[in-house]
Amino acid sequence: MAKLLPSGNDLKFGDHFSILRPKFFEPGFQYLSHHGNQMIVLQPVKNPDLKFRGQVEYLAGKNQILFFGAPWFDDISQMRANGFTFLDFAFHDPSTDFLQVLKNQEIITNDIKELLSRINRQKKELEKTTQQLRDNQSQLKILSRIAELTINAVIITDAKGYIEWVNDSFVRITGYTLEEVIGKKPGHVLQGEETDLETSKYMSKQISEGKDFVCEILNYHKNGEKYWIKVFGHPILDEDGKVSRFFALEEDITISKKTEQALRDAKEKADASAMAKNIFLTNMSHEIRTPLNAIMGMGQQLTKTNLNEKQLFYLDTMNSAAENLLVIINDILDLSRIEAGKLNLENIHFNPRTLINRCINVMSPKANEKGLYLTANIDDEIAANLIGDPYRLNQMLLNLLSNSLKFTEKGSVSLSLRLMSEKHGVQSLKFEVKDTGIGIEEKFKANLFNKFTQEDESIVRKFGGTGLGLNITKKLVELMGGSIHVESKKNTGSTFSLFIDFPVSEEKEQPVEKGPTLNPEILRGREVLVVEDNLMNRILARIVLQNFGANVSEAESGFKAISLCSRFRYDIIIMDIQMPGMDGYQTTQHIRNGLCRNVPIIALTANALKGEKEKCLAAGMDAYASKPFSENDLIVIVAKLLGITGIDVDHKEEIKLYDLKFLEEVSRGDRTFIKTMIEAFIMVAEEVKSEIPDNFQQGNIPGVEAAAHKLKSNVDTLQVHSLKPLIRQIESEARNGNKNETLGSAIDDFSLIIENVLTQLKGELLAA
Amino acid sequence: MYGIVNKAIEDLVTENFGFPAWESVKKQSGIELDFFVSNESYDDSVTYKLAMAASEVLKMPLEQVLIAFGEFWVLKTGKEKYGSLMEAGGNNLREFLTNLPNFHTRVSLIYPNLSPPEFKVTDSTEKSLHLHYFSHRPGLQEFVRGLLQGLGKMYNESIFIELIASRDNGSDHEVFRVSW
Ligand code: HEM
Repeated sequence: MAKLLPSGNDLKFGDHFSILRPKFFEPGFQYLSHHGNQMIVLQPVKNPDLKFRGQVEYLAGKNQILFFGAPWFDDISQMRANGFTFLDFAFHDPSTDFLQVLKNQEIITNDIKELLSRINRQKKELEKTTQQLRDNQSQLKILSRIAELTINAVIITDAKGYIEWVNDSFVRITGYTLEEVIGKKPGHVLQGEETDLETSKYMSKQISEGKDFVCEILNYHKNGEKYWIKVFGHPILDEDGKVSRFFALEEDITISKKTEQALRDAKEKADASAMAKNIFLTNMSHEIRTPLNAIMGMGQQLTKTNLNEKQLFYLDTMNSAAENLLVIINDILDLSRIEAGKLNLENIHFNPRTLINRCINVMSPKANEKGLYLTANIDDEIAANLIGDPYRLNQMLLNLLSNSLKFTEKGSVSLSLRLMSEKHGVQSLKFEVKDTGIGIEEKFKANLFNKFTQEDESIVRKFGGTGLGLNITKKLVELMGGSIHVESKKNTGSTFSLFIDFPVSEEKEQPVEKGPTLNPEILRGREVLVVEDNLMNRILARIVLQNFGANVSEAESGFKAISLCSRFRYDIIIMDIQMPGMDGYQTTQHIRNGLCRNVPIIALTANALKGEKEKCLAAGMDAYASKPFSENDLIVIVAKLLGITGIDVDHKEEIKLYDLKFLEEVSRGDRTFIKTMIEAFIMVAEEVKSEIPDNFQQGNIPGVEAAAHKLKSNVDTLQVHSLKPLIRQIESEARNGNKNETLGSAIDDFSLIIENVLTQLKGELLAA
Repeated sequence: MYGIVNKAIEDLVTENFGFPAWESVKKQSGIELDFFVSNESYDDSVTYKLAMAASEVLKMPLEQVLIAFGEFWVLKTGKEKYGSLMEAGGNNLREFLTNLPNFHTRVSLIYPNLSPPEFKVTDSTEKSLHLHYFSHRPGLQEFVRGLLQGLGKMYNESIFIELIASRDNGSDHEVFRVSW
């Protein structure tokens, strides 16, 4: 007690203790001396943590009260804090035991709390697993329902491939019931003599290795009928990751297989007829253009001579008739190019104002002739430069304008260019050609843009034209992603509108395009050899070249050209492609192999169809001019090749001998795929390149056929236009066993072109 | 034995070797109880099985396990679960050991269905004494050694313990000479 209580005499009780209980009344001396049976709780003033529990005893003789009590602790740490150990308590005093019991109660309460939280945790886990179980079950239900309902056959086998279950569609597709196939291998039941053994082996191998597989295979119905299926095989793993079952889904692809074949056949037919058409057109254009070329060229030269008025008039009429004829041929060629999908649009900068003005300039003589007003109007907001195909746009506008001029007898024709909207740097434009002409009858509007449509035959007679112009314009505008519309009233006039979007070009100022004005001395002293079988064309070329100062020699055949080349030195050679005997390609090859390796050679051809240009370049020629050529065009090309400066020289653009568009389409632009295909092509081509000529030399014609065949499909996938007909020609000639000159020369062509194709493709790989 | 004893073994294993180790000790012991109620009396075999399983799983000799358990009981269970109960046993090691016989007698009175051991102190000097340990339970002498070591640590004394008599040597109880 000494540890806890003050000691001494005459200390005042109230200075050291307060009475905690009773606390609602003051138990004074008087009260206490008569209530020895009341429990009293005291608190030392200096240590309010501490309590004493006890009772008082009144000593009557001394008129004093004595307090009997012991300290009361609520827990052991409080006891320790006051410096007590169990040793301080009398053994009969149970307060320390009480503290232990209290402590124990605390421990047990903690036990209960821990138990509760464990129960909670388990409850949550249980809920989660139950939910998962429920989910799994409903998923399983859905899946098995799908398996039952799908129109595809579903097979479930054990790990070794023996059937455990099949669905109803299996029964429908195969004709076998579950009872008939259970415990058997699907292959034993379904496959037959025409089933591809390799595929069958592949499936067995995948199953034995527990791997996924997808393949197409021919199966047999119970009644013997054949059908094609696509099989998706998938192993089902048990908990330890071991294959416990196999799941196979079989899709009946018989119909799509058949359609595929039909499509392939149809495409081959279509390709063949398209090819025939192209060849026809090429030939026709050649047959017509060659004499036309001569007529126009001669006419041009003739105008430079002294003529009287009558002669001038005749000549003028002749010239314009020839020009018209040329327009017609060009229209037909354009159309066939568009329809063959061979027309590629330019994507270059152009100035829309210059373009409009030029159209007006070209057309104003005609307008003046007929006494019509021809006006143009351009919105200020239209960008100075746009990106697109100005040549085709020009062609469309000229077509619309000349139509309008043709069908308008009095009043005006106007061309206006309006900005409809502008978004993200793209201007939506409306080109409008409006006239006050005869208009179009309502019932003809619907067919207006179709081929060969003119309102009535008398119009054809009166106004001329091929009837192709609007059709071409419509196709061109659609190629540009735009549209054409017409509004018209009979006898009031027509309005044709083109709606086309063009990206705005960032380039501020376009270099002014101008047709080069050529110095008449530009070819002074140059030696030019013209190789051309057609006399008129030869003379025409000579006159043109001589006008610019060149010294011209002529050869009417390939043989003559070669012999001239071996004796004389030429600065440049102009070579017709289609010559009897040795054609332009062969002649070029001979010249290149001989002494004149480096002399520039310009191909001259009436074959304006696509592919011709590539073929010329592949054959080792340096440039290409299409007949009929204009004076200027020919001179510019010649001057460029001779390195003569002072005229605009375009970069010699590399013409691609192949087209990766098809690959890009099928692979959706996957570069690695395209690269692999190119590599594959190169690999095969490198082999075939020597196989074909080697076999030919050794007289092994079947070997030639086999080699050609090997390359054929590769040529198609890479769209190597220049080789497509050639490789087929080689294959078919060889198949017929012809060890003739045609085969030989085709092989020569092939060797030449394949070299160039390979070089370009290798460049493509390097650039990738 | 009292549930808190088994719980202490659980805590010892979990705190030092992780929950999975405790799971395997429990599995090894073959005991299927998931929870020990602190103030419930469990059959002694539970405690023995747990100690032996711990020895096997943790690859420690049984004696080592018992010593560790003794120390743990004083330093962790005594402190964390019982608060200041252990320290209330005396102001120093000597006082504590002297009081140890009364301590367990108290326990036996509060929980009549327990059978705690009995202790007796003789040959007491300033720095040493003989602690006599009486129990009907066999094989727990190393547990006592661990407990004593724990007490030494608690009172910051370097303690020396020597078993001078044992039931293994024909005596009817163990006598430890403890000096510090
Ligand atoms: C906070 C202090 C302590 C408490 C609450 C306590 C309590 C207990 C309890 C409840 C038992 C179990 C008895 C049964 O279940 O039958 C026990 C056993 C035991 N106690 Fe203590 N004890 C404490 C400290 C000590 C100390 C310091 C020693 C030191 C030597 C000791 C030695 C033992 C021994 C050896 C046993 C095993 C049972 C046996 O041998 O029969 N205890 N104790």
